[in-house]
Amino acid sequence: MKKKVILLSVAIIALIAPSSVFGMHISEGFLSPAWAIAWYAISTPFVVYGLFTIKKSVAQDSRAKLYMGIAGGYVFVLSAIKLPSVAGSCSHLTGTGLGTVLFGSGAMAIIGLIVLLFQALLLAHGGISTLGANVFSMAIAGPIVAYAVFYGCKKMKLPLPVAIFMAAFWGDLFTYVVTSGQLGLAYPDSSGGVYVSFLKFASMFAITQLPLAVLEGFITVYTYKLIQKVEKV
Amino acid sequence: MKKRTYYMLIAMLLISCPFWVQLFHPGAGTDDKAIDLLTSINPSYHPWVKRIGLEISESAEPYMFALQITIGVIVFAIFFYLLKKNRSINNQQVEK
Repeated sequence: MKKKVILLSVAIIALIAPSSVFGMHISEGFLSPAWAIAWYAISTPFVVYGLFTIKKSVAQDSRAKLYMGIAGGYVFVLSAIKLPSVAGSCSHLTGTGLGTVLFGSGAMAIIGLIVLLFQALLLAHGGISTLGANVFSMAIAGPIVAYAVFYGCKKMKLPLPVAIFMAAFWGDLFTYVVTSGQLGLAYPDSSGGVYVSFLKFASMFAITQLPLAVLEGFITVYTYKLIQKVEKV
Repeated sequence: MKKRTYYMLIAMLLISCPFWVQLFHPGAGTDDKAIDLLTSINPSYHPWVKRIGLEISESAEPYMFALQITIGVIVFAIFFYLLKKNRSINNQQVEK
C-alpha cells in the first residue's frame, strides 16, 4: 500500500511538473484597497477561531497534530496540481475537504492561510493584498460548506464514502462560487450590476471546476480510506 | 478486486494528465481568464500594488509548483508514518 502511494506521488510530480500552472486565486492588486481590507477584516475572526480550535483539539487528542500534518500536506499537494478541464481551460483543486472531515472546518482556516501565504510569497500566485479574500474563499467558506454537507449526509445516514465525496465536491465548488462573488462585488457589471458580473465569473469558473470537483471528491475518499486503514492496524 | 480497479482508474486519470494538456492546449488558466473578463468589464483597471515576494519567471513557475507538491508529499508522508507508528505503539500497549 505504502509503495503504491509513493509511486503514485512520484508519478504525479514527474509528469505534471513540466506543464505550466495556473489557478483560481485572485491575483495581486486585483481587489481595490477597500475590498482587500474588508476581506481581511472578515477573515480575521475565523483565523483566530481556527487557532483556538487547533489548540483545543491538540490538548484533547494527541493524534490531532498528526491529522493536521496529513491534512496540511494534502492541501499543499492538491492546491499545486493544475489539471486541465473541459474546453481547454485548467484550474486546480483546493484539498480542503480532507481536513474538514477529519477535524472540522475551524482549523482549515490556519492550514489554508499557510498554503496561500506560501503561494503568494514564493510562487507569485494569489497575492498579499488579496490574501484576505483568498483565505475566505478557499480556507473558510469552502470548508464550512464541506462540513455542513458532511454533517447533513451523516444525518441522512448515507454511507461514509458518499458523505466524504459530497463534502469535498461541494467544498471545492463553493470555493469558486465565493471567488466569483468576490470578483462580482469588486467589479459590478456596468449595466447589470453585481449579480450579472457574478454570473459571468461563476459560469466561467463552473465549466472548468465541475469535473475537477468530482475528481477532488474521489481523491479525498481514497485518501480518507488510506488513513482509515492505518487507524485499524 | 473491484476496489483495486477503482484505485487503478484514479491513478490512471492522474497519470494521464500531461497527455490531456497536450490534447487540449490549455491556453490560459482560469486566473488569466478572470483577468481578461475584468478588463472587459472595467477597461481602465490596473493592479494597484506591485507584487511583494519572489519574482519568478514564467519558465520557473512550474518548478516552483513542483516544489510545493514535493513539500506537500513529504509533509503528508512524515505525518502518515507517525500516525502509523503511533497506532502500532498503542496496539502493543493494549496487547500487553
